[in-house]
Amino acid sequence: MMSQTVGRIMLALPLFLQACSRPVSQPVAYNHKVHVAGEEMECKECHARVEIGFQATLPELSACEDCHLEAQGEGPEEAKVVQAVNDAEPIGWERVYAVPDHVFFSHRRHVKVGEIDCVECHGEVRDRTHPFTVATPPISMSRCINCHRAKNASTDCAACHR
Amino acid sequence: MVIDLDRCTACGACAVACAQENNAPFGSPTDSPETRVIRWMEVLRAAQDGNHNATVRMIPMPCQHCEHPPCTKVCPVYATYRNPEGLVPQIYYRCIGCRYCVNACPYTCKYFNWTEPEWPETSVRGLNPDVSIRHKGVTEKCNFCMHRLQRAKDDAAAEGRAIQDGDYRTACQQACPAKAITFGNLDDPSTQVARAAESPRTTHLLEDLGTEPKVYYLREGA
Ligand code: SF4
Repeated sequence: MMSQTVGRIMLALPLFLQACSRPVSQPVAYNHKVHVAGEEMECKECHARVEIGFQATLPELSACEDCHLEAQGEGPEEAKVVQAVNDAEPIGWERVYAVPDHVFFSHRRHVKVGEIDCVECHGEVRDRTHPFTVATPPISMSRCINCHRAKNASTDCAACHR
Repeated sequence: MVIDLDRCTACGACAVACAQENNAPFGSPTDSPETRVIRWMEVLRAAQDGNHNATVRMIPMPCQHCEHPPCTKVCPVYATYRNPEGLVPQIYYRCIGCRYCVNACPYTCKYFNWTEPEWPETSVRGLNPDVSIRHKGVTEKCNFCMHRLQRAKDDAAAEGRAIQDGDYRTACQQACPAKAITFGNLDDPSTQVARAAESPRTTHLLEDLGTEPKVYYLREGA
């Protein structure tokens, strides 16, 4: 039984790593730089539940609607968004960040309670001109632990694993 | 946690609520005779006299979250331990399934997953997303609904205040129609649970073992 369990973990590990690093393709070539640096938008304007829920959530159509009822520029990617807004057809963004089932991560706890800036985990998103297709930078337990130690946050296993 | 046996009618609502809250599988017909059904909260029968007219006492039995837990001392991989709050968590992904802790627990509160958990398809939608599914080969037990505690702490912190007595209830406590279960911070004398624990009816199970359980039972009728 024991060797079975160990075997199961060792089997699952590469699968998990692979699942996290396999690139997805996004329906629209979204440009964070134009929005975040250019328009000075805040992350939570699109990732709406970041301060209230466990997940930051992917942008809903209503987030695009305010500006993209009509085209702002001439790019073909924006045209897709305008089309989607006018058709009320949700944009199927692909999720790139995910933690395994046995890890509990709350955005609210980090962003709202801990007042941690998004860039501390997600890097300089404001400089990205291409959409995320993989988690960049990738998350790992050692990153979590290093930060928890540095900030004197709990390193009790049960705080994140249950 | 304080459990008032005078109020308890052994209805079993706590056990049902616990299983539902914590994604415990129902158990198959073969699990029961093999005593492999997983119930973190179970209403145990205890016969008072040895004869045929025995009075049967019913005792709701969650993990006692011992102050000196025998289960943690035998765990070779630190999958179960006593945390700074005094709870005894079980970290499933550390557990290697050796079952030393199952044997060490004098209260039989630890359960080993002999099979992968299964639910009828209609029940799968009812699983609690806040609690992970335990797979075959790991040991599990009651953790005083720690996910609810964490959520209550986050709620309090987001509102910029300290967590108060009554901010969160365990699932068994919430479900108990007789209000026999009180839960909270035993170290803070102003809490309901600390006051209830001062009752002269207080008793612990297997007190002579020195495990110092943090589940206080209030005896009947004293
Ligand atoms: S009751 Fe059993 S499982 Fe719970 S802490 Fe005590 S020894 Fe461990």
